Amino acid sequence: MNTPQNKILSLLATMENGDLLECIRQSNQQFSAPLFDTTDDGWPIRIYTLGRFSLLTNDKPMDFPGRAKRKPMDLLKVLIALGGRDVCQVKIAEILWPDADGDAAHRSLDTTLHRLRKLLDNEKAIVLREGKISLNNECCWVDAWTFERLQGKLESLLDQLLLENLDNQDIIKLATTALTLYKGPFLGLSSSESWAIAYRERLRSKFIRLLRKVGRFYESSAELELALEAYLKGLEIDSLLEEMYQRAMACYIKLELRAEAILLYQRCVSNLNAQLGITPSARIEELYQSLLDS
Amino acid sequence: MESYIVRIYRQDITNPHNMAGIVVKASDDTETRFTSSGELIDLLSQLEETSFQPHRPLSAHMN
Repeated sequence: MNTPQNKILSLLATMENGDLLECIRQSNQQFSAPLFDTTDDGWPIRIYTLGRFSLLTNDKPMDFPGRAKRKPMDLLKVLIALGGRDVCQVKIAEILWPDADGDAAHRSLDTTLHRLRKLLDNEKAIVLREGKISLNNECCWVDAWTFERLQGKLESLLDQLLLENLDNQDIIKLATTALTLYKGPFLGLSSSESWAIAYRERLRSKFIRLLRKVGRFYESSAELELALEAYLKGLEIDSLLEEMYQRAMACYIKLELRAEAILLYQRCVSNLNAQLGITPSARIEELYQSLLDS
Repeated sequence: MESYIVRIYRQDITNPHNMAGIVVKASDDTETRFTSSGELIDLLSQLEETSFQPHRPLSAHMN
């Protein structure tokens, strides 16, 4: 795996005549302290679940034609949806074989687990211990896991930022990576299985929360275009989020884009009325009034 | 089994029963709106009669 440690070891292995300074220079260049490692490069198994489902084993994309791969892939999806670590095998069997009795379901799970390991071309990818199944995070990279870790890290950094003056550029890089990772709902729009809903909603909720925080951070850093982008992305996910309308309108006003602010207000009125049967909040109305008065 | 998602978009601080939101049917994304806790309860009761399995909780979500 292409971890920073392995990169250092390979640099050391190729080093001639103890050219240690060059080695250190190169390693500093390559690993100049990213705040958080988010890259999917070098992982033997890469699983993409945000906005789609796709899988790469040893850099080769896996296709899913035919029934032979369906159950193993369903097992992988269910495992990730239930947290990916120490998931009770009985629970997985109940989801995948709801009509089978306990023993039959258990046997089917064993067979499917074996087939999944074979498809992943890695015996260690799935760990079964004491009746619990885990996806091995030492050889599997999952976009949703990276997004969640990054989101947690970013939120705590943004909270600290109020107290300490961290480097804004680092935060912007992290925020851009996190917002890019979330490409859509867990397993995409085509999947409506009940076992996927809780995790899908959790990720969606985290993404919206992150957009709010990142937007606020951009506003406080006078990066109004970036803030606007975050709020408008929020409205793409959910057109009923009043705070996103309010903050986006405020950004348009600060950027002296009056017409855009008015159009957004009209969109807000129309969506809230059509879908919830309500009018915009007092804050949004105040903003709109200030636009008319200006 | 059908699954539903409850999204609450607005709630009155002084009167928490006043709220606005939607219930989304997961299989086809159809939405039904509610404007109070009473309406939400009525809506959920109707859905329960038609398709709910009572031992499975709803995925509740507050935006």
